[in-house]
Amino acid sequence: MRQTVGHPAKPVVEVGDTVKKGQMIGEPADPVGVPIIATTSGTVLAIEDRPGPEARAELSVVIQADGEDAWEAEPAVDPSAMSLTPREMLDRIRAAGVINSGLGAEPSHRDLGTAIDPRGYVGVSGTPITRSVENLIVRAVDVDPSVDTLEANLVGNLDAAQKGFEVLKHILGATAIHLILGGGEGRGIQQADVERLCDPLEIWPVEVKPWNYPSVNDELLIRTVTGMEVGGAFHEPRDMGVIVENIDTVIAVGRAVLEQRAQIDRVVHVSGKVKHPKLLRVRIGTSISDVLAACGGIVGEPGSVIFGGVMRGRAQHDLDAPITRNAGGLVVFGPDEQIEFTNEPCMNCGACVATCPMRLLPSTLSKLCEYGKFDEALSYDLLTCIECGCCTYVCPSMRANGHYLLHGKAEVMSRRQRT
Amino acid sequence: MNQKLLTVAMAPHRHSGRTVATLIKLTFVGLLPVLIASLYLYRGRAALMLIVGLVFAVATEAILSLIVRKPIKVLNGHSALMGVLLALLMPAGAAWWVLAIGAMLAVALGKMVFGNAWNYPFHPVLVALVLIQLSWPGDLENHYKPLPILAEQVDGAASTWEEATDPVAAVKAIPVLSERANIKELVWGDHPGPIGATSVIAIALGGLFLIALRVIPWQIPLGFLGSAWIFAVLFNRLDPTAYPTPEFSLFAGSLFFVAVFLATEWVTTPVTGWGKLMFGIGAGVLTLIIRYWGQSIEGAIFAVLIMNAVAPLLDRLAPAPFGRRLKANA
Repeated sequence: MRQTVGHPAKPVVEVGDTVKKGQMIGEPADPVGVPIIATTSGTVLAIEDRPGPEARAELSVVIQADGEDAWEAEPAVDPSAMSLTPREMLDRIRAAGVINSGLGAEPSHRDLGTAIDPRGYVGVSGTPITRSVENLIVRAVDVDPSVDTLEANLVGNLDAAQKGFEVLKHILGATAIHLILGGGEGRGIQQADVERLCDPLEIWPVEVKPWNYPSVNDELLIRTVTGMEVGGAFHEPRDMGVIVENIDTVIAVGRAVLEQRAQIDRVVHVSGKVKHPKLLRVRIGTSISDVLAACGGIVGEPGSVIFGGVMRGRAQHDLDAPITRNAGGLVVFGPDEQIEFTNEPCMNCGACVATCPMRLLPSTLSKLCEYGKFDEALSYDLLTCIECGCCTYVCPSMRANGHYLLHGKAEVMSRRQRT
Repeated sequence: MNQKLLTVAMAPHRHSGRTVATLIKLTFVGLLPVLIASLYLYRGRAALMLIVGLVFAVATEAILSLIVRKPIKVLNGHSALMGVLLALLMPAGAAWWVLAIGAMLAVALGKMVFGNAWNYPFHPVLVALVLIQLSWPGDLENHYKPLPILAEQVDGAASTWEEATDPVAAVKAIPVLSERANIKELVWGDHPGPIGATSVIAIALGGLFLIALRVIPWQIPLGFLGSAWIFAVLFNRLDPTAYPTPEFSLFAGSLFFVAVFLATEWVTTPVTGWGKLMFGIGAGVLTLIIRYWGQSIEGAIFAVLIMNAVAPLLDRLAPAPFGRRLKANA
């Protein structure tokens, strides 16, 4: 029931009920949330706490699939969809349960509502603030170097993507759309397809260097495209008229608005120690063990299974946890491939300082957070950290710098909420 | 339910594989040309000193770790590196027991008293050198004439070493002498001095290797040598009779070696790029100030120690974090 920010949704079905694909099974508890949608048809077996992907139990609706996979309402193209107002479009997006496929898992109707919805705070004069969006940046390259799902999704759904771009243009009124593509040899999309997609809509394709983590992070992409340093602790991108979305969202938005089709699946990239590493289109809610079985199972002893990429993903403790909408990588490591971060004392070498894309001092910050000096850490711009993990990756002392920073950020945030 | 236990860890789940031990190993590789040069110039004398420095440094760390019941970390090679660096900075005529005491002091007073946890404020080798200079100044001036690299005739390995004066000391007394110094000899290392610090070519080779592999930051050698060069040119132009030539200032004595191998030490230098550059510039200028007007013959040691003390302040030369600048504009 917890798939996005805010409070978890409330189940609206009961044990024994028959559900259809696309039916709402969880009602959002607040205006931020999105409905939880059944991703296949079947009977409800149980409503109970099940292991979630974030290492804690979540209230879950367990559905025994009946194999018919029948829609509640067959998605059909609505010819009048493009004449809807942006507000109606956003409602359809929300009803389809579209959320950002990044780790943040922001619901898309909120993200895209920038142009017409006021933000959470009001201005000094008391008037709600709305912003116009000038730049829409759409990412077709995964942030994490071990994952490659977005480009595949784009290649397979060019038409849906085109519709999605039209809808987004209509909602946001964005004057410039940038499509981020991987450059170089590993690129899977044909140049002709790019032209066919981009030319009619005046989308500007932008090529980024592949394997240059974390260069396609939101903040760094905005700098690449607009030259502005937006993000970190100082402003939200939408305050500066920039929105970054994944191509997944664009495709889902197109389907949600034109066909009223719910977001029920996503592309998952399974790699590492499995028999057949591959890309799969997986129904949301499928258990990780089922996905691994579809790839021929784990080769040898499993050491750790990471949902998300190797740089930012979460190691799972229970393979019954479901695939959620917000991460697309599944990496299996053997027991001998584990990295032990021994947390030797910092040797002050400055490797983390040189690598930090946010120009922070991770060494200082990690020491401050280790000893609980969060206020001092704040004065070193702790909240600007984007949790990319680069400082941990390069640390010769094998310190889990990123972990300390994450701990510090969580601590600061919870203190702020209390006061 | 899965029967096998899975490892749960925080992201990231990979590491570059570069640990402290890797960095120290690479530093030794970078030192190879210097070691070869010192062994060529001083033969058995150099070999003896290198072994004494290494053995006493490593043994000191091991014994002290045993006494305070801390894990013995000698295998990361840091104490060995300290011992070798100290040996390379001693002249060939120094008594072996002075070097042994120095190596013990470097490890014990330089780093072990600070917990053997990368917390020492000053470079251990430089601490030991200063203590030696205060206690046995004669041993630091006891130079031997090295075996010639450039000269045609090599009269076999000399059985007895010929004593020689340190050109830095000579020039300090009479600066004009520097004009007579043979630059080629200075660059190849064909002049009396600390056993490892005279061959500029070997040091530059090792330094470039370490910079290319990003083991040491480029900012410190650049700032150090650049500022020293500019400073030396300036004063030599002002009064060539009172100040030595810039070539001599840079290539003679231990300045070049200290700039590449000691000033670039990780623990005692700033972490930010600008901080490192300022560190280098400060050390370079201070070295020549001490050489030109100070009491001591060699300035680089004290210059780097002074900058070590300033390093935490230089850490404040941090760049504005991402997004901060925009706020100032808005």
